[in-house]
Order: sequence, then C-alpha cells, then structure tokens
Amino acid sequence: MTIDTLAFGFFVYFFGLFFAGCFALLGGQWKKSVQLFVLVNVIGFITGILYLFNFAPKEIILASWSWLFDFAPTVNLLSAIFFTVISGVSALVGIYSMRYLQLYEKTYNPALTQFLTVIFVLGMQGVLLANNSLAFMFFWEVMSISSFFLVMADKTSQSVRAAFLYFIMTHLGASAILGGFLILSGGNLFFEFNDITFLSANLSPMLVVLTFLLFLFGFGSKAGLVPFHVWLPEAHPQAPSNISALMSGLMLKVAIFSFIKIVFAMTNLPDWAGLVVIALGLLSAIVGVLYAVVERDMKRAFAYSSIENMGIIFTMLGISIYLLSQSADDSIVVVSNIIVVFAIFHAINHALFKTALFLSSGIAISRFHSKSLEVMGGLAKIMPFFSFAFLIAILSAAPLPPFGTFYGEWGLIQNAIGLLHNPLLSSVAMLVIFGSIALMGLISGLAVFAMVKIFGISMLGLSRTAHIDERSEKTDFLLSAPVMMLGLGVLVLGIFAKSIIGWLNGYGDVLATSTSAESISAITSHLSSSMVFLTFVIFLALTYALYNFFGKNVSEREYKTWDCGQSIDATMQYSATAFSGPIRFFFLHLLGRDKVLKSAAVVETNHWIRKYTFSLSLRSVWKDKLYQPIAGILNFLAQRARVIQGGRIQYYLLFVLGTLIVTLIIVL
Amino acid sequence: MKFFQLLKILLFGPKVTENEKTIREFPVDDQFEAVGQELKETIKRLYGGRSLRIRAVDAGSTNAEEIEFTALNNAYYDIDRFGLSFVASPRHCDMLFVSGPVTRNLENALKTTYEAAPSPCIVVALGDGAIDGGIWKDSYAVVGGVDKVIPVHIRIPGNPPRPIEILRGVLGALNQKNF
Repeated sequence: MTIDTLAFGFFVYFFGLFFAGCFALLGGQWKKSVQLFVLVNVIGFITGILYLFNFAPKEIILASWSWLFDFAPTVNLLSAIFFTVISGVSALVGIYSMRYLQLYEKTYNPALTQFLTVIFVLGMQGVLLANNSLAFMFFWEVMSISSFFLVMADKTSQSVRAAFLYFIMTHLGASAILGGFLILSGGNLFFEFNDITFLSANLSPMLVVLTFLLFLFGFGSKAGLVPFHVWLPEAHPQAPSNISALMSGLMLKVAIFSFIKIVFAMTNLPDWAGLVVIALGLLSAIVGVLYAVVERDMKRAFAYSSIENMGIIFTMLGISIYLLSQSADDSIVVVSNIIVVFAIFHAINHALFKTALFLSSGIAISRFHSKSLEVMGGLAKIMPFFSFAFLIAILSAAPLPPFGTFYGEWGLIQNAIGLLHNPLLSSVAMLVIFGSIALMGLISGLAVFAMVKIFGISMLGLSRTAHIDERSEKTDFLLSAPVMMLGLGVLVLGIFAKSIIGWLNGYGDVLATSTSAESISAITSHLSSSMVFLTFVIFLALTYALYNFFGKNVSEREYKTWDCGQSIDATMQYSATAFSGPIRFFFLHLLGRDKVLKSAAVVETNHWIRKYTFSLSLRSVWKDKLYQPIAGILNFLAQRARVIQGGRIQYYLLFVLGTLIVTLIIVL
Repeated sequence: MKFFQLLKILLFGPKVTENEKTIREFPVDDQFEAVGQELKETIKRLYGGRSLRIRAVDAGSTNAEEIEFTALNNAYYDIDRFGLSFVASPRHCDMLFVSGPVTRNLENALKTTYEAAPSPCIVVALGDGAIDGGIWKDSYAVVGGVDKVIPVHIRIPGNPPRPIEILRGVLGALNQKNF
C-alpha cells in the first residue's frame, strides 16, 4: 500500500464525480449518471477506509498545483473520517435516487437534479480536502450554490421562498467566513490552513475575538445553530428527500468539520469563547428538540432534530474549548480532546441516522402524498420491511443503546461527571459543566419523545388518509434498502463504539489540533459497547426461548383489537397534535402558537346548535422577534436609499466619481 | 370555632349508623345461601380456586335484567363471596350474560364481544327477551333471540328472572357436561 495508490483512489473519485456530472448534464442520461455516482462513491469510501487503516494519522498532500492558486488537496485524519462518511452515505443515497428520481420524474427534472447532486457532493468533498482559504471558499460556494438550486428543484413558490432565505443566510455566513480569513491573514487570501495557529498568535486580542465570532456565525449558520437557524427548517423540507438527506446528513457535518479544523487551530481565544459556543449549542439543542416534538410536518420535524443534534455537537466542542481555556494541565487537556472525539463520533452517527430518517420521510411522503403527520399512519402494514428499517433509524435517533448515537452522548455526560471531581476547575466551570449535564438530560428525554411521536403516528395504527398508495413493497426495495443499511451502520458503530472511540482517542491530539504531549487515561467509556449489544441479544434470545418453551401447550387464537363493539376507525387514533400537547403546554412561552376556536350558529334562528372550528398553527418566535425587525430596518433603509436613485445615468457617473475621490482620499 | 363544632358533632352528635342488633337479626335467605354454597364448591372444582368471571352484555334489553343481576353485587346478595365477579372486558371473562332481544344495532357488537372472549366461553341468555325475543318477537328492529347470533348454552327464563333464579341458572350451566 503506497501513497500513490491512495492518491490514485482520490483522483479516480473526483474525476468519476466530474464524469457523472457530465453524463447527467450533457448526455441527459441521469440513470447512468446515478450508477456511476454510486460506483465512484463506493471507490471513495474504500479509499477513505484504506487511509484510515494504513496511513492514519499522517497528513498526506495528494498533489500540489502551484499554477492553480497553490491548491494542494490534502488529507489528514479529520478530513479522512468525514470523507469516508460522506462518500459512503452518498453511495447509499445514490442507490435511493435511482428509484426516487424515477418516482418523481414529473416533479423534478431528474437529469438536472442529478447533475446538481453530483456537484453538491463534489463541493462538500472539496471543502474537506482544501488546503488554503481560497480553495476552501471556492468549494464552500460550490456546495452552497448547488444546494440552493436543489432546494427549489420542484419550482413551487414555497420552495423558491425557502431557497432564497437559504441563499441569504448561507451567503451571510460565507461572507463572515471570508471576513474571518482575511482578518486572520491580514488581507492575504491564499494562506495555508497550517498557518492558522501561527497567524492567530500574532493577532491582537480584539481581532482574534472578531475572527472567532465571524467563524462562529459563518459555520454556525451553516450548521443551523439557533438563532441563525431559520433557513434550515424551511430549506431542508422543501428539497427532494434524497437532497434533504444529503443536506441534513452531510452538509451540516461539513460545517462541523470546518469549525473543528479552523477554530480549534486558533490560539489566544478569550476565556468566554467556549462559553458562547456552549450557550449557543445548548440553546439550539433545546429549541431544536422542542420544535421537533411539536412539529406536525414530518420533514420539518427531522430538520429540527438536526438542529438539536448540531446543538449537542457544538455543546461538546464548546465544552472542549472552555476546558482548554481553563487549565493547561494534562488531565484537563486529555478530557478536552476526548470530548472532541465524542463530538466527531456523534457527528458520524448523526450523518448516518439523519440521512436514513430523511430517506424514510421520502418513502412515507411518496405513499401518503403529503408531508403532514396528521394524514399518515398504518404504513407498517403495507411496508413491513421499510418500517423495520425506519424503526432502527428512529431508535438510533432517540438515542438509545445499543446504537452508536447513544455512546456519543453518553461519553460526554460520563466525562463531564468525571470532571466534577477535578480540583483544578473553578466553581464557575463546575457550574457550567453541571448545567450542561442537566440540560443534556432534558434534551435526550425530549428527543425520545419526538422520535416516538414521529414513528408511532406515521407507521402504526390505521391510515388517516384515503389517498394512501398501497402498491407492494417489492417495487420500492431500492428505497428501503439504503435506509436499512444506514440503520445497521449506526448499529455497527454502536457495537464497536468502545474500540472506535478508543482508536480515535489515540489520535485525540491530532483531531483537536491542540498541543498535548501524551494522552493518558481518559474515560473513553466504562460501558463496553459490544457487551451491551450482547446483553440485548441474549435478552431477546432468552425471551424468545422462554416464550416458546412455556407457550408450547397454550392454544392461541389471533383476533383484532377489542373495539367495545363498534368498529375502529382512524379518527379514534392519537393524533400528532394531541401527542405533543403536554410539551406544548409546558413550554408555551418558548414555542409560541396561534390557537383559534371559532363558533358559529348552524341555523340563524337557533343559537344553541353551533359549529366549532379549531385551528392550531405554530409560529417561529425567532422569526417574529429577531428576523422580522431586522428585515423591517433593512426595508426602511432601502426606502431612504431610493432618494438618491434618480434613474439618470449622469447621477450614477457622478456617484462613481465621488466614490473614487473618497477612496483616493482614504488611501492616500 | 368550626373545628370545635365539628368535634362536638362527631363526639356528642346523634348516631347515624344502624344499631348492631338489627343487623345481626336480619333474616337470612336460606335457599339463596344453599345455592351459593353449591355454586362456590362447583366453581372451586371447575376453575381451580379462581373466581368465575362474568361479562354482561346488554343487547337491547329494558334494563329489567340489568337491575336484577346488578342486585347480585349488592351487600345483601354479595355474590363475590361465592366466587363470581363481573368484569369490564370480554377478554377476561368465562361467561357472557346476554340480556334483551338482540336489536339490529347491537347485533355486530354482540358478535364481536363473543369473538373477543377467550374460549371456552359460556353464554347465558338472560330473560325472555334474550331467549326468543320476548314481547318484541318478530319486530322489524330486532334480530330475535340470542341464539340467532351466537351459540347459547343456557337459558334463564323470566321477565326479569329473580337473582336466585339467575344463580340457579349459572349453577345449571356449570353442571352441563358439554359446551
């Protein structure tokens, strides 16, 4: 195994993606393009795995093109992990697309959608391999713009609105990142990422703070941190389901990757930097999970769940930054590094299960022809295999053992509790950690609630709509198989969680790019994850064996649910709105909703017989209280600016001259 | 003071409970006790110590039968001591009490109740209406006797039957050999 082989793998990957794009755009043969896309991503996945097994944690420069703005695709441990995950998940999404694009051939333009998907994945992978700021920004924009077009793939007015909101937010973020780069390098656009530590050490504290805040806004808005999240629940559900899966599962991970890569390399961060990240992370997690509980649109609920998980990951990263600023003692640094490892582990799991969930939502929507949970139900009877796969994905999102997601969150809580014994930390730090643990408990509990709601309402019971598509599951095998594989992927990560985390922790200092000497005993996990899985298996087998042993002589007769004499119909079922009622009640002030009960007499002369109509709509407090005022101010300023817009060319020439004079005065 | 007033009423107020003597000397229905004792032994023999669970289904009766078998549960008859109890779901029952002519609206409910009950389930047609439709026989609104909808194992005539007759009927049903 040589570096050349590895580099060859990466080049095949990128050229393959390029050709897949050409196939779709020029040839219009989207089916071939999808097949090539899957094949290429499998190659990428294998290449990533090869790197992880043979070369980790070396940093490998795959090529160096000085003529192309010094672009030298570089792979290190952190980017290789994300590269592997992105190519693996993309391959499965590609399998899904084969059937999905065929189903929606009339709604979306398959060739164009496939082309944009390829470019989108290319952009994401490019960000991972970028070695300098220009390449980074280039691929970042490729990723953003291709996903912008994908959001409005069905060309409805709602999608276009969502896409433009996304466009504005992502470009505000991108300009913030660019601003951060420029401040960091003192105006140089081509600086190497390896120099960040050096550059930030030479900056004045004010500028470091400014850079940090710009990066936090830039990456935070991409990752959907509250309060920069408004675009996410609008844009993700509007995109085709395979694209929502890519956006939620993978694009958000690119933001995480960039945040770790750039912010963790900076030095001289103020003490409160970590606190800001923790605060935003916890806020996102709580707001995200609450909206996920009360949301009745399936895809929006999943989008909010993404915000929640991003919040959890940023909380972990924040705690890590905060710990590093508290003390440089080895015991603290080691814990800080392992928390970053747990964050990465959680990000990998989230990439898998959130993709699975969005793919599942696509399947459900293709059957019910609606995104609303209120018309779903009863799909488990028609699609047993799919609903089982969906159940695995839901359980891993919950998060419950023995799935990988559980160990990511568990590791944070375990390490945080371990820190409470550490005498090096001040009481304020203790309080911060303690508060984080408590809130993580609340968030995990509510996440279970949200996931149980989504699965129970959409899959179980009877169908709430007459428009359900009851064709056989066999035709949709290409749709359910990737969901199953992603779910099993999370399960496998869960079984080997201890060894994976232990292995990653060996390179914890490389991942967190901090300068720790040797990694001594940090708590990877007291729980042996494979033993947990084994316990589950043994209990299941035991239950089955006992049931068969004792139930041998019992005669059984299957009969439908006891219905008290009147036949059961869908209106008797628990609805999604009613299910989330208690949570809506407890968090009334945080959620905000419009409840309208109208009553009108059926007959004018008789006021006793009345007809009641009830409507409940959720509104975003953030949009009302934060974004509307800003939009109002911008509109006001634009109105004022119109005064100087005469519409005559002479005026504009005058403005150009005036600007030139002012600029010259400033410069000279 | 309210509290002292309350204490005064509690300690020195008029007695509102019955005199012990009158309760002790209340006449006992020997016939009923005898049937009850026999039933108790039969149930113990057949059901191995647990009680016989009964689910009552009103298939359109005038509630006369209901009043009678509800009386079985009161303090005077108190059939729980003989090992009979009324349950709230056919899933738990050994015996169905069906009363009234089966109306067309309740035909399906009666059928599903019988199907939901675990077998063997003894069906008791309670009262004249349940046996053949009673005074509603041949009406357009009723199906007729219970046996037109589900198999009936024992019929207890009367409109309505007295509690002791109901118990005799149950005893007779338990002594049948084949269900």
